[in-house]
Amino acid sequence: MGQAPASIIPTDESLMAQVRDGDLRKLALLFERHHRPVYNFFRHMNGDPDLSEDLTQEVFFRILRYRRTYDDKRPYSAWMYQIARNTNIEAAQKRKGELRLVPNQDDETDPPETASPKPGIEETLGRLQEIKLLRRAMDRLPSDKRELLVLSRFQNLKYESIAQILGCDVGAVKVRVFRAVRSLGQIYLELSGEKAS
Amino acid sequence: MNCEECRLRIPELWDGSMDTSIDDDARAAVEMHLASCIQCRTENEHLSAIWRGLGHLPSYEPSPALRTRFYEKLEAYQQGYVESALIAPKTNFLRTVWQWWTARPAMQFALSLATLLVGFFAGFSVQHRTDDSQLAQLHNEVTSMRQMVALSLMQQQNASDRLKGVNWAYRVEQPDTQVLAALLYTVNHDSNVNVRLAAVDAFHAFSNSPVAVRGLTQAIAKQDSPMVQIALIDQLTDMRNRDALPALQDLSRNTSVNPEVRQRAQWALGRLQ
Repeated sequence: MGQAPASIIPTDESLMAQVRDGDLRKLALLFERHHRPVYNFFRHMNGDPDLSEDLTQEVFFRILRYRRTYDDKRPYSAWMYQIARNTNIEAAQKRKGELRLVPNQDDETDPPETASPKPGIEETLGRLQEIKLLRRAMDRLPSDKRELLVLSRFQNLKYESIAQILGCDVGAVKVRVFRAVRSLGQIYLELSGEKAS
Repeated sequence: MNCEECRLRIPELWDGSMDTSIDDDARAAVEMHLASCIQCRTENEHLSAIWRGLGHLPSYEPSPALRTRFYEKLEAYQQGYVESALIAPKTNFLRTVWQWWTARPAMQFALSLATLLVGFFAGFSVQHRTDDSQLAQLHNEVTSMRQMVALSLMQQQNASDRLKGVNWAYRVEQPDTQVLAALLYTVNHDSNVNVRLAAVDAFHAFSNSPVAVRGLTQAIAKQDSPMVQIALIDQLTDMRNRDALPALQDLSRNTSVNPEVRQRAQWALGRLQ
């Protein structure tokens, strides 16, 4: 497509190894590649745009601070999301009592331009309204299940990487993903019922 | 395979699943069970639709302020890092000199005088050289950073990001071959006309490069947009490189290309000849 050939682009792991060894400028490349997915991870987890930006920034500076702990035999994404996950947990603890998941702002409005529903979505879920319903169902999902779906579906992480992040085995991840989708499906059906009645 | 076993393997069959470890035998077993068990089949249809629906949820876009704040903080952090790296060895060295100096009081007067004289005559020139060296180092770092940002942005999926990447290429004072290769690739393959046009403009920085002239010359024939073809002709004319003449002659005679492009090629030939 329109992107530069992969042969001239270094891998995440080699870039992070260079950051670890003192070439801090290479973090800019990693930021450009990953700041949107990390931001989306936080948006799905807390629903707050400003807080999500702050936490995204915090993740990249934790990467800088803890760079010497990076092992380049390990996938960079798994390491980065482990940091993001810890950052999210700490932020939630700090705001305990005051933190509620803020319903994502476009729930009641049209999705942003980036949504661009592709052909086929109508075949799967029907109208655009149903996508909004699915988002509301996501917001109501318990945070551990939501986190699992965000990592497996939105961040495109392999089950093996998720297992590393969560500190469990791959089999447990598969079971949890199934249960999370099942819970989401139930909430979705409940919301559909509320909407119909 | 029973219902419980089947349900644990169902997620591996869903479109977009990142787990591709399921083998053909297991897949066949799951599909066979689904064909015979209406309960599992119904649940799979419902849950796989939910899973596919998740793939269509719009992604959120952070504000441009996030990028700005990140680069500001990175620059500040890096500055502190470089300064601490430069100061640390100097401190150790001074401590060693001090210990040596205080241990030899008889030599203090002579060495002080010698140091004073040498310092007096050499001080200014050493200071200037150090400043020049640090400035050169900083300049190289900034250039390298700009190259990296340009390359990184040019591989983004979003056209506006790729456009930003091309714009960063303008800021690279001495563009290297990687930036040149990425710009040529963008001119030839980017799906967005605006990005291609910006990439053509960015070739101002490569006016002395024969590779750039050859690349742009070859790119004319590959373009389907007359606007980009005209921009390429104008760029080659600005570069004032006669190597582009044969391609421009071919273009001016080719009746299958847009008449305005042919006209522009004839104009360019007049300028270059």
